[in-house]
Amino acid sequence: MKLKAGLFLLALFGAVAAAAPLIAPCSPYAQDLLRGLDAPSAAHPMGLDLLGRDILSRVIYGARVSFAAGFVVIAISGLVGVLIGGMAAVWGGRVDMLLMRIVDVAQAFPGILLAIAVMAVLGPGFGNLLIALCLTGWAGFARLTRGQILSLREREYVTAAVAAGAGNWRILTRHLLPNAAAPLLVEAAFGMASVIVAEAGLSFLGLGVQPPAPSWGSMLNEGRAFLLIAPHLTVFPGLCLMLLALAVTLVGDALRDRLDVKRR
Amino acid sequence: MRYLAARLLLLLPTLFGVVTAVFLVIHLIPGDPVEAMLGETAVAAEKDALRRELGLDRPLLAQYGGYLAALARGDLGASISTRQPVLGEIAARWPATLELAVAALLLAAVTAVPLGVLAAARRGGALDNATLFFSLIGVAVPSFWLGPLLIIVFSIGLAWLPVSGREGIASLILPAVTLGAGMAAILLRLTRSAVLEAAEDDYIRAARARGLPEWRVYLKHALGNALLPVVTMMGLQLGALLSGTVITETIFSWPGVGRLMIEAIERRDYPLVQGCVLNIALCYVFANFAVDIIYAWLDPRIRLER
Repeated sequence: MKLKAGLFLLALFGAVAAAAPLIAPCSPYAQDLLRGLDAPSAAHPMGLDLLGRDILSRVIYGARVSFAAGFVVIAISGLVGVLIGGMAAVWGGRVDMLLMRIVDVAQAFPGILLAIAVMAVLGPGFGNLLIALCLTGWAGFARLTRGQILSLREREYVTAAVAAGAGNWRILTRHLLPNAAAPLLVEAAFGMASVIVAEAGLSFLGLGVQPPAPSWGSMLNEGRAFLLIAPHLTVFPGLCLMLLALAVTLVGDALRDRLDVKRR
Repeated sequence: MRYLAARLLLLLPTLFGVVTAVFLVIHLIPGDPVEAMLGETAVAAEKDALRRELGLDRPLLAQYGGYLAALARGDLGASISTRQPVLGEIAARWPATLELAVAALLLAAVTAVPLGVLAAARRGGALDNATLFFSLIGVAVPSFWLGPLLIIVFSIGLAWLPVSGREGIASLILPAVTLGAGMAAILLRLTRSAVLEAAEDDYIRAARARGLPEWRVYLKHALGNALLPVVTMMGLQLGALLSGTVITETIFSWPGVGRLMIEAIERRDYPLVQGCVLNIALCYVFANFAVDIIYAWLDPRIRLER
């Protein structure tokens, strides 16, 4: 039930993002200044923004920004985190000690604070936003990977592989990582939901995606000044953001139940 | 006491790491803060003067040493835009942030915990289904959407509550709901499942067998034992709550540290940005420390383990 609802929503948003140029009624950048802030109508179901741009089209293109941020950040921070966690677990000793203290520090910053600090120095922009979110995101994967490997290492099939003469690398890639995949996958799903919300949050604060590019977060930021006269600027991008975050969370929930993963 | 001492000892490397990380983020990331602050049109002499003032002309290690020494004296430097000490600027904003965070925390706890117990007691009932639905929404709804929606409904539509600012208890309600909603949703789900789990235990059956009324079984016995995971989760969620103040304060023009940080970023006032990041991060580290201590106090098994 959860999985079906989540996957359905996710597929819907995915299809919308992929087919954006085909289904968007207008260009997300086309302006019609005279009709700025017009309420939803048959021609523009979600209304127009201050510059008279079609909000539906901008919401459709905004899905691309959310997916791009989610996939890129999770792919990079996941890979880096697994590598660092794996190194800490396999080498142990001082390397482990040093790497885990760095993980501790990265996790000592609450929520998106570290990303905000990095954006303050790097300056706004989508590329910088990806860097900031990767710097924040890898530590969770590193800690999880290390914990998984340390507990899996004690299993009999690993002992058997060692007895059979398998090297460290082979044991890591053939035995340890595949068995750690389930919790990592669940972590990736929940991580993706928080990256999507974090991207929108930073863009909402004016630190992320810059105008005129359509991000749901920056659209919400633009809507703030017009809550009284044009609430449609706020309602639709936020609704989409919530539904996408909900979809990814539902998939994560369902994966966790199916794969029987206990989170922390 | 020994637990407290051991935990304090663990606190030191984390504090040092956070202080160092903030320095590295501000100083090592490419980009010229002086040029960013003055604009590209500034003449070289102006830039050199500001660089000297901020100590940016010294080698990195010397800057780091100076930074640590100043920090030990409680000196966070001076704001570039107001020329006032950074620490004073931030200290003036902490009461507003703490007020907001505590209100959100209390609001989340007093709505989520009783509802969670009720939902568990009437498992599968209408209330249970409704709370589960709303908690699912509550986890997914971003605060920077919920806040504006609340303004549209309660400030603009019904005209019950102020749109923004910090004047009296009425102005606190919407920001506290916005900030606390996510935590309330998580706490609600957790309380429900913790009470349900506890309800299966032998001591609950024993309490029932003794003929205690049902409300007493749930309130005293099931909730008492479900409280530990609830407190843990509140601790884990503190980070989200603290970083959430940045966004919530921005939505409602709430004059706290988070709002100050965003203003400082917009003005490219790097000493002030650095001070705000440091303040919020250290507050989080200390709050976690406090949660660990409370946890040990609630559960004697932890403090007697070592």
